[in-house]
Amino acid sequence: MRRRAPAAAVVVAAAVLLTAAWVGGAAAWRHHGEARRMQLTEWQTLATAAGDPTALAALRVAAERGEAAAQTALGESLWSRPGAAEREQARAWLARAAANGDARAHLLLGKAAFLGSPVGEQGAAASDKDYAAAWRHLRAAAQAGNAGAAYYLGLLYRGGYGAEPNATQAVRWFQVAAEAGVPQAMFMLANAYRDGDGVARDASQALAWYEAAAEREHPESIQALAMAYRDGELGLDRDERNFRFHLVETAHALKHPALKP
Amino acid sequence: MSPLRLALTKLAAVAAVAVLSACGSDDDGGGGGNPGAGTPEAVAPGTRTTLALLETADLHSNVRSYDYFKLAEDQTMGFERVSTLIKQARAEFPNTLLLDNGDTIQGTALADYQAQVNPLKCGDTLAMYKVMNAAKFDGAGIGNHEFNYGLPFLNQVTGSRFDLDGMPEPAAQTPCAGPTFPQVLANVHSVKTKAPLFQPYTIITKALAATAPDGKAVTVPVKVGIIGFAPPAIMTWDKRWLDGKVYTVGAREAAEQYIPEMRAKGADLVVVISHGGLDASAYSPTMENASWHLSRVAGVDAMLIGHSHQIFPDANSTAAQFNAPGVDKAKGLVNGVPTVMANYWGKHLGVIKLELAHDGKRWTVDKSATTVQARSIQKADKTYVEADPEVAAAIEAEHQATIAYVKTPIGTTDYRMSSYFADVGDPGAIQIVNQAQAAYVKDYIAANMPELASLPVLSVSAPFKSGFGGGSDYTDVQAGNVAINNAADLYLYPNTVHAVKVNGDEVKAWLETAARRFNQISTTATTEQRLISSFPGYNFDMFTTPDLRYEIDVTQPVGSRIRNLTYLGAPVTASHQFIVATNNYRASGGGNFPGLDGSKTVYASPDANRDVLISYIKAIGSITRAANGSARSWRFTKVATAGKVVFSSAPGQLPQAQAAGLTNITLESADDGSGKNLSKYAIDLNS
Repeated sequence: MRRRAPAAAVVVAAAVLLTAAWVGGAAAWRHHGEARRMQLTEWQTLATAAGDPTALAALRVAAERGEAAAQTALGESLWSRPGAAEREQARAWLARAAANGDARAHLLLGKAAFLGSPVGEQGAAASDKDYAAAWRHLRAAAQAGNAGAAYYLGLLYRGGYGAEPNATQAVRWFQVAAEAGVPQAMFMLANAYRDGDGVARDASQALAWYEAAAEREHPESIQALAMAYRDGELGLDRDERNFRFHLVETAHALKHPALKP
Repeated sequence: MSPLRLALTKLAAVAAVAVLSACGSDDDGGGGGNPGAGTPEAVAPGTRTTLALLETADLHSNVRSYDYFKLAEDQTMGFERVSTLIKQARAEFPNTLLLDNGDTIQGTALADYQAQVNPLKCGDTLAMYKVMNAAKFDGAGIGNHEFNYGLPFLNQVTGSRFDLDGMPEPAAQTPCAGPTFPQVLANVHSVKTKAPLFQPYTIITKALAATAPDGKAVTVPVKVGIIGFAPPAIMTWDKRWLDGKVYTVGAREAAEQYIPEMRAKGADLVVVISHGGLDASAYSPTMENASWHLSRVAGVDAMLIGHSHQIFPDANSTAAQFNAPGVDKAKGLVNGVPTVMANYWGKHLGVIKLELAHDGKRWTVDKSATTVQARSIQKADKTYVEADPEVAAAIEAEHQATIAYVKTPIGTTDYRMSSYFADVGDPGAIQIVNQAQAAYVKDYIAANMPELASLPVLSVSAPFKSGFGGGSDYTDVQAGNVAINNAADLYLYPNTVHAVKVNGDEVKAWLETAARRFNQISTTATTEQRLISSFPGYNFDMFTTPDLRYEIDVTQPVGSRIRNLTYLGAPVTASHQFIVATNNYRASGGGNFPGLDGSKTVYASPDANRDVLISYIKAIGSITRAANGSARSWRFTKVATAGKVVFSSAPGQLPQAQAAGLTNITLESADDGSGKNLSKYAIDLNS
C-alpha cells in the first residue's frame, strides 16, 4: 500500500518553504508553522465532524505531497469513518507518516494496536490487538516526546502485554506523561504512589497527583478524592462537606471527562 | 432609591424591552435611550457613566437552594440566592447588564424531570429560563451541558429553529417558549448549513443613566456586543447526539472573524461569554479552555468565563489556570482584559464594573477604574444571603413535581436490603446492583456488539457503605416501597457503567486484590483476630451469581486466597473469556487492580450505574430475597481457628445476618470499643 510522493513535488514544496523561511526569518517560520498546524486542524475537523469533502481533498493533496502532519491528519480523519476500506487507507497514511517520523502517527498506530478497534464502533472485536506493534509505535512516539504515548507506554509496562510487567518503568513513563499534563497518567501515578507499586509509597505524592488530575476534570481522580475525604485517607481528615463536594463534582465531570490522549 | 434613579431605571427597563423584541445578530439598535424622540440624540462629548456587567455561570438548573437527593434545603447554592445579589447590584450601580455563561439547563433532578420524566410542553418555559426571564437577563452563552439532552430538546427549550439534518426546515418550525433574552454561540456550526447553530453574536442597545458634561442626568444609549463560545470537546462528550449534525470551529478563529463585524455594526463594547477556563498552552482550534487565547484577540473589552467551577478573581487561588502567565488573579485581568468566573450553582455573582466616557463618537472604557469581583452568596459571618422569594414562587409547581418524582416508588422489596454483613457474605444489597449491571450490558452487547455476544456477561460491585464512618454508615433500605432516592443508598457513587473483557486469570487476579479486604488469619493463634483489614470496602468487588463460584481463604497471604474459582461448575482458566460489568472508576484503574487500566473496556456507557439500577427495579417491579438478595458467589474457605475471629458492624443487626442465612455469626459485644457506635461480632469460619 505504501506509495511515495513524487520526488519533484517534494523538492518544490521544500523550496517554497525554504524561501518563506529565508524571507521572513525565524519568527515568520514559526508563525508559518503554527498557521499551518491550525490549517491542518481545521481541515481535519471539517473532514471528520462535518464530513466535508473539500477539506478531505485538501488534506489528501498535502498528504500526497509528503507532509507528514497532513498524512497523520488525513489518516486520523479516515480512521473515524465507518468503512473498512477507509480504515485500511487510514492505516496506510498513518504508516507513511510514522515512517516520516511523525510522533502523533506513531501514537495513533500504537493506540490502535494496543486497544484494538475503538470502543463502541461497529465491528469492534477487540481481536485486532497487536501488542508487539503497540510496544514499537508507542515507544517510538514516547521517545520523541509525545506525552500521550508516554502514558500508554506506562500502561504497557504496568500490565506486561506480551512482556514481563515492570512497575518501575511504568511509573517512570506515567511521570513523564503526568508532568506533561496527561490527567489519566496523573491518576495512574497517584495509584502507584498510594500502593507503593513501582515506587516508594507516598500518600502526599498520591494526593497531589489526584488533585492535579481533578483540576483537569478527571472523574476517577475526583472520585478518589471523594472517597479519601469520606474515609480519611491519604493523610486527609474525614470531611463530610468535602466528600459531598467531590461527589457532585465527580458526577459533573463524568458528563465531560478529561479526554484520553 | 432616589426618585430620579427610579425614573431612570424605569426608562431603562422600557428601552431594554424595546430592544429585546427586536434582537438579532444584525440588530443595529435604534431602540436606545431616547424613547419618544424621532432620531437618536447625539451623546455629548464628556458624558460619563458606570456600567456593571453581572455574570452567572454554571447554574446547572439549581433554581432553588435545594438538594433533591437529600430532599433538603441547601443554602450554599441556588439561583434564588444569587438573585438577591443581582437585586443588590442593580440597586448599587446606575446601569447593569446581566449575562449568563451557560451550563444552565442540566444538573439537577428538576432538569431531568423536565427533560426526560415529564418532558416540557412546547408552550411552557423551562423552570430555569422562567426565572431568568423574570430576572430580565440581557443575554446568555451556551455551555457544553446544554447539549446533554440532545439537539431537539435544546431547539425546543431555547425557542430556536435549528437548521439541521433530521429536523424540519426552519420555516416549517414553530418556535417553542423559551428565554426572552438572546443566546449567542459562535463556534458550533450546523453540518447542513456550515453556519452557526445559534446566532454567533448580538448587539444589545442599552439605555444608560449617565451624567452629561454639564452635570445633568441624561439617558443615552450604549451598544454592547456579546459573543459566545462553548468547548469543542462537546463533539466527544455528546457524540451520540451531535455526530454528523454539528461541528465546532476554533474559538479564536471565530472571534477574529466576528468581533470586527460587531465593531463595524457599531458595538461600543465587546463582551466575550466563553464557557471555558484559561489554558495558556499553545492554541489549538480544539482546545477545551480557550479563554486565555480569546483575551488576546483584538477588540475584547471584557470576558465572562465559566466551565471550571472556579472563582476568579481570587488572590488566594491555587488553581493552575489562574497562575498562568498574563493572569492577574487579584485584579481579575487576563492579558489585561477584565475577566470574571462566577463559580457554579449560583454560589457567586460575577461583577465587572466599567467606567465609561463618551468622546462624541463612541464610548471608551477608563481601564484604570475597572474593578472585577466574584461576590459570594455567603456573607462575612458565614451565613448566606436570604433567598429572593419571587424565584421559589415562580417555579413552585415544577419544584413540587420534582420532589414527588424523586419520592415516587419505583418498586417494592420483600426484605430489608442492607450492607451490615456484606463483608461476610450477605449479598442482599449488592446482588440487585450486579443483576442490573449485567442485564444492561448484556442487552447492549446483544444489540450493538454481536462479535462479543457469545461471551458470558458477569458483574461485580462492592459494598460502598461498609461501616468505616460508624454504625450509620451502611446501606439500609427498609422492606416495602423503594423510591428513587433509595437508589443512592444502594449505589453511593455517581459512576457510569463500563464493561471490560477479561480472561479467567484476570478475573482471579481481580478477586485476589478484592480479597485484600481481609487480614491474614492464623489458625493457631488463641488471641482474638480481626477479620477486616484497612483495605477499603469500596474496593471489595464481588460477584453474586450462582454461575460463578469461589472461596476466599483468609488463612493465606494476599495474592493466594482465591480457591475453587469455577464457572458453571468448571474451573476457570486463562482460556475463558468474560465480559464483566463494573464502573468507570474500576475499569479505568481505580483501586490499582492488576490488569485494569482502561485498555480492556469494551463498552464505556454514558449511563450511570444508579440510573441503570433504577431502570432495572422499575422493570422487575418487586424485589425479593429469593430472586435478588441471596445468590452467593463466594464463601470463606472452611477452617478451624484456635481463637476467635471478629469484625465490627452496626449494633442490634444480628437478625439481618440471620435473615440472610448467615448462621455462623454471633454477637460478641455490644460496643466494639471504637467509639463509632459499632458492635463486635464473631464469625465461625468452620461452619
